[in-house]
Amino acid sequence: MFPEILRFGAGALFFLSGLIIFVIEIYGNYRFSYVLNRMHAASIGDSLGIVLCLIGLMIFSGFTFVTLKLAAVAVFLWFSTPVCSHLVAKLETETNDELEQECEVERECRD
Amino acid sequence: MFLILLALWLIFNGRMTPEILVFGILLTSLLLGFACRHMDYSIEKERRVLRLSIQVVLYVGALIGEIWKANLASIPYIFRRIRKPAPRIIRFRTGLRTQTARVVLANSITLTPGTITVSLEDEVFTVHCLDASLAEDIQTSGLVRRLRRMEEVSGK
Repeated sequence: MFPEILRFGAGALFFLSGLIIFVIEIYGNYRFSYVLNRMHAASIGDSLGIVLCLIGLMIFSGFTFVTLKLAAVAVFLWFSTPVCSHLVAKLETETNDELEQECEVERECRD
Repeated sequence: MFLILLALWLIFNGRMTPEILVFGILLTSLLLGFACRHMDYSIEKERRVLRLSIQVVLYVGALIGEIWKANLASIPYIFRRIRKPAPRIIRFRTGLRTQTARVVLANSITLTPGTITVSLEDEVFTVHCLDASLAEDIQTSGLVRRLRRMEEVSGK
């Protein structure tokens, strides 16, 4: 009885903190106006929010194949989201002629 | 690689029966053979990666720590009303020699909130950051040091 409640509590804690992070992410998405800034807000949910939610679900499901599948989902997400956001960022910086109005651009390279 | 593929096969099947196991072993050997022949993969490379496995685990741990820290650092920027974040695009060089290490670093930079790798040309990383303070120590961070150590150990 007691371990059941403890497990539920831990799972719910992780899941709820993941959800809170998602809410912050969505708020940030509407608050920022420029695409590259919005992507930073989105990446908060991508990296931390989804993983916290998945950890919560893993704790709920106990040690089964479902848990392993969820872990695989987390790993694949962490591999694939950087690639996608890199592509969006590259497209934006290469097509936007007025990039310098939105952010400072350093021309010289730091060593 | 063989073990990873087999584990994936078993996880996606969701059950463990002798038939599934035999099929899995057959299919993974086929895939491994294909990768060795046509995709420039070899057992020799695998051995090199295996030698680094402890450091890979340490790197992943450090990466998770960095993601946690960066999340906590960038959430306040969303709520700050008075001081707006000062986004900035920076360019920098790291001393990384191998292509793999650079790509791993670029992916890690994009994965941590607050910084996005815009492009990676030869040695020069171009990174967009939400606020200049988030990327101040990007060149000397623990991740870069760990990647450098890995390069030294693998002898390249």
